[in-house]
Amino acid sequence: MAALPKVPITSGDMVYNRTGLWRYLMPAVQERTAPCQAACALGMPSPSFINDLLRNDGVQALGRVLAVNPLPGVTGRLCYHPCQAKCLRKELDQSLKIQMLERHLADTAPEPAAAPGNQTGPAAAVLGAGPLGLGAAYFLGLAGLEVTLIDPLEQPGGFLTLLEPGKLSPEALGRESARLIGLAKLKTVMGAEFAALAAEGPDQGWALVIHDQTAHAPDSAPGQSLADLAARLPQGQIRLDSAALCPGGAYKASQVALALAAGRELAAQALSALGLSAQSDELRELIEHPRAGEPVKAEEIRYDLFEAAGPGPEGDAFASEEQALAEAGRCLSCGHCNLCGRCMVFCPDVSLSVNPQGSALQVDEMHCKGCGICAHECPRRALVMTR
Amino acid sequence: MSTNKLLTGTEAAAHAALLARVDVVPAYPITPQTVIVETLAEMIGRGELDAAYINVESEHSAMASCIGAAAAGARAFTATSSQGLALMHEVLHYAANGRMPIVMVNANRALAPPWNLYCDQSDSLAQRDTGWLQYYCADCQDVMDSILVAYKVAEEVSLPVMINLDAFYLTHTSEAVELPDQEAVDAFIPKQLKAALDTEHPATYGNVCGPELYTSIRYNRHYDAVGALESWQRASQAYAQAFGRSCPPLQTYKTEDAETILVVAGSASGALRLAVDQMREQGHAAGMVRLAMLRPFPGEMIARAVGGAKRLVVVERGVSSGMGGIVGQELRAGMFGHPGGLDIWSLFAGLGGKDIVPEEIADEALAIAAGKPSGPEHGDHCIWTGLLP
Amino acid sequence: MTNTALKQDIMGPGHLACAGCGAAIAMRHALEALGPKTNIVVPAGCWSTFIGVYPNSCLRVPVMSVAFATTAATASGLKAGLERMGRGEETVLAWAGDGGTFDIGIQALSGAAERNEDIIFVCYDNEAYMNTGIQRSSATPPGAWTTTTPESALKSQRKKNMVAIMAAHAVPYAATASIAYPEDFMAKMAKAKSIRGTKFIHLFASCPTGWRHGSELSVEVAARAVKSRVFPLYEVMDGEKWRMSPMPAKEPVSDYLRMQGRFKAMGPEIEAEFQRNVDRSWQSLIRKCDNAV
Repeated sequence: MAALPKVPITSGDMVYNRTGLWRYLMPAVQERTAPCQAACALGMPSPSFINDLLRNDGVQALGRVLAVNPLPGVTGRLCYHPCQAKCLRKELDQSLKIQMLERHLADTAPEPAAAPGNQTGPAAAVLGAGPLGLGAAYFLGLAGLEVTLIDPLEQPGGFLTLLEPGKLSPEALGRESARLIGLAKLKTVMGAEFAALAAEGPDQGWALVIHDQTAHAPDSAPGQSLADLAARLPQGQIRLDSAALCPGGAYKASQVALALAAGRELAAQALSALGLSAQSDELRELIEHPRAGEPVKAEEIRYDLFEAAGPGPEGDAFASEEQALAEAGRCLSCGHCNLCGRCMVFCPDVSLSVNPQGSALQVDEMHCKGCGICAHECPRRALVMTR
Repeated sequence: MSTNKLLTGTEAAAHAALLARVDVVPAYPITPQTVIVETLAEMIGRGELDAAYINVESEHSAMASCIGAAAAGARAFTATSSQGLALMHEVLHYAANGRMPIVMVNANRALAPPWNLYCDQSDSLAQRDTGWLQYYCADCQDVMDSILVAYKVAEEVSLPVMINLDAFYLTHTSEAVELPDQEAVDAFIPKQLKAALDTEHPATYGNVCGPELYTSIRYNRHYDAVGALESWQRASQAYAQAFGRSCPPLQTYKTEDAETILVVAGSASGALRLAVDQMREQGHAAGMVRLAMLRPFPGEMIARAVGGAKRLVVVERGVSSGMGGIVGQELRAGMFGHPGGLDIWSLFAGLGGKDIVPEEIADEALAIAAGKPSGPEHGDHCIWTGLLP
Repeated sequence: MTNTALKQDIMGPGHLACAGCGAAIAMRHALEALGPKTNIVVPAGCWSTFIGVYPNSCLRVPVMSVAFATTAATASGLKAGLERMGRGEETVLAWAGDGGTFDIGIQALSGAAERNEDIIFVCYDNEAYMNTGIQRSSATPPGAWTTTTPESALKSQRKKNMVAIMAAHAVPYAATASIAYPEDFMAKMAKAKSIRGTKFIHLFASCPTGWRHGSELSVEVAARAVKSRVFPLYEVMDGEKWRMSPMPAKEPVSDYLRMQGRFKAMGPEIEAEFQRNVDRSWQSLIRKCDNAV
């Protein structure tokens, strides 16, 4: 009792008091599918890459995009952008220019390095360097297979090389395909090398061959050359082609994302046929990109918390970094926490904060009373109360 | 240099506050202490006293403002009386429980209804359980001296002190009062209070607490109050050394061989000395004890002063309806088990400003001693004088 | 509002407020605006009880738990004492509930305002004596259930207009604010801190327990009170210049009332009267504001 102060004054804080024991429910950040993501054949994680851009993390942004789309600079120029039709921002002012942001990212972000180490998987070949073939080769390469990309033309791209430069310049196409080839550690047999291979014969010990029949028009010279080569393939390989996925046999330039998605699907089928995808969760995730749950709906967005912005930039490309970031700032980030901080501002129990890395919301489980204000006030339904 | 001035008790109180260099004076008027706050206003206005003056809108707020000031580590002072003191009751508890070294002057005046502005001690006596130390002044000089001693003790033991002076007998009577030298007072009561509210060491003052802690805190407060008696005596002795006068917790007059001892708190001690002399002239061994300190209750000192006396006649200036005389009640409790026994009488001679007349007291005391108390007697050791026929 | 994070961590977790307490949110916003050199005077009420059990407290600034009626008087004395001790630049924040402001505390508040004491007095208004278990105060709106205005005898009198009372004292600054609009509240607190004299802020703080709504709705209820003009946001400078704060788009009063169980027994007549009172007060406010649209 000698330790008691004369004056009844406190000496400690209330952190010892575990008010977390009061709750029935606790907030959890959930990654809901954004409507733009649901509309995209590739499932582009637009809110996430846009949030990365706003945080000045172009590396992470591009990394996220490349996990699902190996040619963002191409889709960023050619795609018919169904994502923008579904963008919930249009209820407030206008749809976000997602395609322009994707192009901006592809054109300006630092180039990523390929994963270290050599390819350890079986050898495979992709005949036809159209977007479908490129997509298939890319995902198989990321899965560790030693993939050889084969095309009669000097440059990869297939029918993309025939587009007018205003739509897709050879420089841009070259940059994009070089990145794809580098990341997937592809070997290439293109142009003159193709002729040599055609002469030698296609018996190169591949365990798997994928024929992209959409790379070139069937009655064109490159299309014919590839078909001839395919016809001479020896027995004993797994063979897949694009006929089932693209019955029409060709893609329009605006459908490049569909072609890439089909290539990814073929890669998935290939891994399954090779018995590889069963072995590894990583591989499965690489290919399968689950888009769980219903996409976020307009009713779930707190439009009253946003202010309509003025008209955005015109044209196909941003004039400056500032303009790009201004447009990125309009993204509602449907279903994805962008650390806007609103939940933290209203927590009565000081139980929400940002993790030390500054990358995610964290809940103080010792103290959160489960009142639910945070989830209710989240402008984008990224936070829900769970058991 | 000390100076001499002709001052009333209220003026003496104001001068004491000036010498004590009080920092914050929340002020509210009430007869008969108003001159205290008026004088302080003028002193501050003239620049003699460097203090903040807060014209509060009630006495309850006056004490609350003192509490705020004390929490900041400032020296706080206020004054009140009767109704105002009663209004402060809630916050008096707060000041004492909060261990705040506030000094307040209270003019002992009757409580209403009926309205009566004159001397009566029921107001401060009713506050004896609040935890405040209580001192009752003998004269205007005592008012001056006891306020300075009070600050020393309050700041040492962290308890508030109430300095009581009788309405009109002291508030409105002039005496020659010696004002001590300012520098000597500064040395006697230097300012060294620590703020309870400190942004460098933030803490919460007085929040919710459980039974064990509460009991322990009250234990500490009680025994600190008990120990304050010794602090007061030391301070009084130090004051005597510096200024030649002291404020002892009680004073005695011819008690050494007394059979009947008159007891009173406050300025009536002067009249009672005359009564004692009259009783002695009539052959009775009379004496007087002036009870200066009521809280803490100086039981041992009283017991020593009382010695082998047969009876105490307590001249009451306050009554607790349904029980009897308050000071008498305190003495009965304090003197319980006194060796040889003690017959304690309450003589209600000073309620509502009734003058305490020495002859009257002497006659009543002698009658009591002779076993023939005069006046209506309810078999309760209470004698009432000054009743209407 | 985006990317607003509270930087101060003056208030910690583990306090005893109900889940979803508007008053707890209010204190975080207030201290964000005022910073650590703040001394708080808190009378009996929700805050003095849930702040923590002695010897612990959830606030890292000096706080004094004072007797119910004394908030403004203690704050006055505290400010005077701080100035005497050379700490005059520190803020004294009086933080009282509606009971401690509108009712038992009004005398001391009036006294302090008349003397123009240099304090910020914030009334966190949850429209009843909530700490003692939901009893009616003069801040309880008409038609509301409380334990002392049961369904058989709902509160009938109109809510006392504290800001008008403070304006009548000609204090340098009086304003309303809401937990749902933190930027507005924090700006008003910062403004108050920059002015010398008595500053009064009437802050709307939802109470799920007393108002009978889900704990997750505290901020939304407060927002709807502003949107429906039940609790408009405005300021009064020197008691004579009235200025409307930025107000969100108008919504019907019924949207606000429906959310809360305390209005369930209201009935259409009382609700119509409620709407008339809101309209009347709003018109009166618009006439006074120099910037009303």
